[in-house]
Order: sequence, then C-alpha cells, then structure tokens
Amino acid sequence: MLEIQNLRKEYGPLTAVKGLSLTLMPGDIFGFIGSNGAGKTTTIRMLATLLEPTSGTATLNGVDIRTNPMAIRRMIGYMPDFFGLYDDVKVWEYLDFFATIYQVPKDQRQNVIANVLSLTDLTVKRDAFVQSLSRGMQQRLCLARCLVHDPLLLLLDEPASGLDPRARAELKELIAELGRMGKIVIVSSHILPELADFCNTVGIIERGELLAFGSVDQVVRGIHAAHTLEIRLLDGIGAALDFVGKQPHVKAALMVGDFTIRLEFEGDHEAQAAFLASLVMAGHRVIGFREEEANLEDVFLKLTTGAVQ
Amino acid sequence: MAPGAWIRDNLRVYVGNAAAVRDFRTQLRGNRPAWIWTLYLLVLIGFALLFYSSNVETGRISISEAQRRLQLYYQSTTYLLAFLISTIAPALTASAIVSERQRHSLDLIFSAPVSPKYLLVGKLISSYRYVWMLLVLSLPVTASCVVLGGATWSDVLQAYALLSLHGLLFTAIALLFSTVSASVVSAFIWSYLTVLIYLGIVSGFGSASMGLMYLHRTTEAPFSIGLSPFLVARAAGTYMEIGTYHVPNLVLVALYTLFLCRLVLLGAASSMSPAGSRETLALRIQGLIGYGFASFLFACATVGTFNAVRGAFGSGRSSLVWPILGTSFAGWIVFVGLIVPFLTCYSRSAESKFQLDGTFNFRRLFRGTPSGGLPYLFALVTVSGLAAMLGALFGTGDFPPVRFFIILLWGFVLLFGAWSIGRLTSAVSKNLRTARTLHYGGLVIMWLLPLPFLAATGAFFGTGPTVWDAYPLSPVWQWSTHPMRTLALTLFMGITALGITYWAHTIEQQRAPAMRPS
Repeated sequence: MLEIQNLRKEYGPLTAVKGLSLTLMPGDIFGFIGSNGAGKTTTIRMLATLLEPTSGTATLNGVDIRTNPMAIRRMIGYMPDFFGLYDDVKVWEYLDFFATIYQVPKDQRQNVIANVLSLTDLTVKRDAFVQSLSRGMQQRLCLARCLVHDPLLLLLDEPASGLDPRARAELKELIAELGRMGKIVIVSSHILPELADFCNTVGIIERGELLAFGSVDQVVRGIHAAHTLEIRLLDGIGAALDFVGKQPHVKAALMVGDFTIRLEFEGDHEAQAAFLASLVMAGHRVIGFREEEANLEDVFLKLTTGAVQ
Repeated sequence: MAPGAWIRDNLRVYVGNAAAVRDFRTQLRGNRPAWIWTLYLLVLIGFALLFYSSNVETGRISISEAQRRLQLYYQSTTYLLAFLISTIAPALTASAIVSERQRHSLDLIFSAPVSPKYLLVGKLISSYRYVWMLLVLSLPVTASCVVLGGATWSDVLQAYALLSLHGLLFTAIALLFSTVSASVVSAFIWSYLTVLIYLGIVSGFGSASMGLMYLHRTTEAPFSIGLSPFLVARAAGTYMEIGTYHVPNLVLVALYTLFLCRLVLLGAASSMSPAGSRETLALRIQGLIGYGFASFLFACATVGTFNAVRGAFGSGRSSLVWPILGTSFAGWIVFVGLIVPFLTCYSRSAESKFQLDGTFNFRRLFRGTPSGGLPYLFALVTVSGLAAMLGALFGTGDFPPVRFFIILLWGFVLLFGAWSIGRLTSAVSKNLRTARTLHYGGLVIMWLLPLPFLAATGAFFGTGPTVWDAYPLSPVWQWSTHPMRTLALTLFMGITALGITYWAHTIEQQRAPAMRPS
C-alpha cells in the first residue's frame, strides 16, 4: 500500500507540490493528470527518492521514502519522461546492467531478462543494439528495465508521449496487465483519453495542489452533480420544451436543434426513468433519450485553469 | 552496519561493478581498441628508436658516459609515459559522469539501490583499467632500458608503481570535475587545468627535493620528489627520514596519493548526495585528517631538508626551519581559500544542502550546510597548525616561537574574511553559481589584484614598515615582519570581515520577506 501524507516540495519561493495526500492499494492504476508544470513530475521524483521533500512523507508498505530511501528503491520501478538509454549496448546488456544494480542474483539474471523481454514483447530484439530500436520498442525496453526486480510500485512519467497509436495501445495493454499482476502503477499524463481507458483511480493536480482524487466515476460524478440529457423528438418541440422546463429535477433546458432538447438533470437514474415516462405519457413523441457521458477531459477543463507556476 | 554486511557491500562495489562491466563491454567492442593500442605502441616504439639512434654512436666512449646516456634513455621513456598518463587519464574520465547526466541516465541509476560510491568506483575502475592497460603495453619499451643497462627491474617496477598511482589520482580528479560540471567541455577544461596546476606545484616541490638529494649525495629526499610523474625515475629507491625512521618514499607517496584520491572521490560523492549524507560526513572528517597529515609531513620534510643542508655544509642547527615552516603554513592557509566558496555560498533557489541555515553552528561542522562552513574553516586551521607544530617538534625538539602563533591567528582571520565575502555575494545573488563566481572574483580582487600595484612601489624588500604590511597575504613571505605589524593587519582584517558579515546579514534580512513562499 502506498500512503502519501502532506507531501510538499519548495524551491525557494516556489512551491511545486503543496501538501499532497493520497492512498493507493495493490492493483491500483493511478492516472496522475495535470498540465505541464503542475507538479506531477516533482511528485513522482520525490516518490522515486530522487528529490528530497521539503516536508511530509510517503510510505510504501510501511517503509518511509525519507528515512529509508534504499529500501524504497528496491520496491519501485521508475520510468521518467525521457529514455536515458545507452546507445552503444545491446538490449540484453542494458537489462543485465540494471538487473545487476538492482541486485538480482547472478544465477537468476538470464531468466529474469528473458521474462521481462517476453512480457514486453522484445524477445526477438535481445541481441540488437539499443540505438537500432524504434521509439515504441525503446519505450517498452524502458518498461522492461523497470520490471527486472519485480517492483511493487511503478512510477511512469508520461509513458506514452511521442508514441504512435499502435505503440500507445500496446503500452496501455501492458500497463493494464501490470495492474492485474497486483502492482501499484502511477501513470502521469496530460493526454486524458489514454488514462481514462485503463486507470481505475485518477488525481487531478494543478499548481502543486491535488484538486480531485478517486475512481474515474467518483471524480466525474463529484464534479458533474447534474447529468446532461439529450432528448430527440419527432415533432412538437416548443410544447415539449415548455413541459420539460416544468418537471422536477430539471435545472435548465434549451433547444439545440430543430428537434433536440438538451437539459441539466439533477436526479438519479430512477428519476430519469420517471421523467422519460412522464414525457411519453404527456404525448410527446420521443425518438431518442440519452445521457451524455461526462469524461475526464470535461472534469479536467472544469477544475483547472491551465495556469502553471 | 554489521561487518559481514559491510564486506558484502564493498565486494559488490569493487567486484563485478555493473558500471565497470558495461563500460568494459563497450570499450573493447569492435576494431577501435586494437587500432588505438597499435597506434600507442607505434608512438612509444618510434620515440624509443628515435631517442636511441640519436644518442648511440659507434666509436669509443667511456663506460660512465654510456651508463649516463642509457639512464637518460630510461628517464626520457618515463617522461613520455608521464606525459601520456597525464593526458590520457583525464581524457578517458572527464566525460564519464557528465555524459550520463546529459543522457538523463543518472536518474535511472539513482532510482535503483545504488550509492554514489558504487557509480564512481565503477567509473574509476573503467578508466583506470584502461590506463593500466596502456602502462602494461609500454612494458616492452621500458624493458629495453633494463636489457641495455639504463635501469634495473627494481627501478622500473617502482617507477610503474608511482606512475600508476599518479594515473589513479588524475583519473579521480577528472571524475570529480565530471561530477560537478554542467557540460563535457567544462569538465575537460577544469580537469586538465587542475592536473596542469597540480603538476606545476608538485614538479616544483619535487625538483627542489631532487636538488637537495643531489646536494646531500644520498638517496634521502623529501617524499615530494615522488609526487610528480615526471620524476618517477629519480624517486625510485629514495626514502625520507621521519624522526629516526627511514621511510621509503614510495610508501609515503602511495599513502598520500591514495588518501588524496579518496578525498577527491568523496568530494564527488558528496556533491551527488543530500545534506548530512555519509559521504559529506566522511569528506569533512577525512579532509581534516588529510590536511593535518599533509601539514605534518610537510613539517617533517622541512626539518629533514634543513638537517640535510646542515649535513652537507657542516653548519649548526638551521635557524631557517621556523621561518620556512611559518611562511609555508601561511601558504597552506591561502590554499584553503580555493575551497571557501564551496563551503560558504548559499542560495534559496538551490537544493536544501545549499540553503541558508544560520551563520555559525558547530553542530553542523560535518553536515555540509552553510552554517557549518566557518566552523569547518576554523577546524582546518587548528588541525593544520597543530600538525605542523607537532611535525617540527618531532624533528627539532623546539617549541614554536610566538610569531608562529600570530600567523595561526592571522590564518583564522584571513579565512573569516574570505568567508564573509561569500556571505555577501550569496546575499546579493539569485543563484548559487553566481554567488560562487562572485565569491571567487572577490577573493581575486582582495588577494591578487593589489600585487602589481604594491610591486610597483618597489618597497618589497624594505626592513621597516612598508605598504606591503597592509597586504592581506603578506605573512606568506614576510616572516621577518615585526609581529606587531602582523597583529595590526590581523585586527584590521577582522574588523573589516565583521563589517562585511553584518552588511550581508542586513541585505539578507531585507530580502527575506520578498522571497517568502506564497
């Protein structure tokens, strides 16, 4: 379990992270959302023990990042937003280097390397030079490097940036698989659709402050208390609009086309069903009724201003 | 840490170090290494043939002349090796860490359970192994000197041992600059500059020691003869007298060089570590020990030198021991000035170990934060003074004169003054780099700029009060100055330093509210 408590980082007059607190459980894939400069990378670097927090702390399975950074490093895999690859080595040599520094026993290294290559689908590239790999393959190699010591927590900073759609889809599948393996995965990104697909927990950060945290559904519901409903009618739009405006739970309604009404509805699904029934019973000829799904992008845009520090 | 764990940890660092293994694979890959070694051997063989053919002649020469020429041939070979070691070791190492930083791979390494020591030792092994390879490759050429009679195997082995020690030191120096530099070019420039200055200083000391050795006509010489790679042929087989013991200079040079290497590597490791790290603690403690040890050895060498002079000329106890020791001690204090900006300067925008945490705090002596800077400078002067007195006492049995204690007091105040300039430059600067640059600039203005103007007065050798008495560094050469004049200078410097410190404090107080985080 990862527990972050009041984590704070100051650079002189600038506060990069302002008292961040959250808890993640094994199997959680946490999408860390924020604009560039919001504090995502600083937080991840503090968790990776590369930056010393100004105050606050984080514990992974009870081990404190401030008091026992070496023990923490054995439990995490950190993938920064740059590759940091050695061009003049072969793929297996690169992984062997990291397996050695992560103190993987010598007699197990070849097996471990074979396993992570297989997991990241790079087995055929075992003897290739790192510089000969495509960008997507290099990204997968970075992920393979993070896995050589079987970490509990994976810190992935902008893992999909610069990847083509196919490589991005493969990476998403790989991360989802890691979540299923029981690892805690923190993925930072500002490309929201890619996070919503496979993250079961998200946090939105701006100016170092965590503005929202929870499951994707909780975060969306938390921001959008009212649902947006769209009703399509065969005819009689004027009368229907009058009728809709007088119904309970309807906050606002407006005509958006010749035969379409969009309204803000504050009730739950039971109330929605009752509302549809009353509409039909009143003789309005409904040919479409749907709830517009609010997504992370809406929530993000609503919560943040895009300002950086 | 339990002894078993300590041994395991160290074995992991020195045996099978991942950084060294990876570099080894890349260093030996392809045809390039074979071509480089071939070229290297061709240069060595070409030089040997050229030198030999220009010195050997057919006809009659005396045996002693032939011996002299063959010895010259051997010495020239060692000069060439010294040159190659001094140029190749920094070249192999200066980019080691800085290129990792530019490639962003340092973060990957330090997010693993790896200490700075592990990485630095790995890089040191990578480069030093290559230096060793070059030394081994040169053996056929030096072996020809033995076969021809210019040297014995013992000479050659001692010279190689000394050369390999110097190679290790130059590798460590380049590694330090590779760690602290922002670019590969600056790492190269600073590495070569430092090696060059070091060679200039130790070659000067070494040549003086060699002169004394020839004067004395024995193999006794101060250990400084072995500090220059260019004098290894002369240093082989010499010894230094410490008290009544004859200690081989090879042993002293090995101790000195290995200790210096350790300090340099600790400096590199400390720069990669947070405040209060084990590396910083070790650097501070061992820096004090090393500085004291160097002062002690220097005092022993000074006494030994004058004993040698006395022996050569048959004169009585030299009255020059304390003047030389006193002025040299003052020189050692000025030398400390080079590191003052690193101990003093701070910045609010820097990482936590360089942020202002007070003015003077003895409890932070070994922590590496700015408030421990002045206590550490005072500790250096104290340890160095005590060690120098002990060394002289050991050799002469004389207690130091009052003037030595006045110079000691001057040393404290000089470094206090240097420290106060650093406080001022930090208070007015936006970042650490600017503060340090201004600090060095301030020291140059205070310590070096007056020299040409004072020299123009022509009063340098005057016995009465002169304008030179107001020069902050005058005790470095003016032992004969009246003690009261040195005391007056010290008092003036102390009051000025207090004023600068107060000024810096006032500026800092004014800046503090504006800099407070929102």
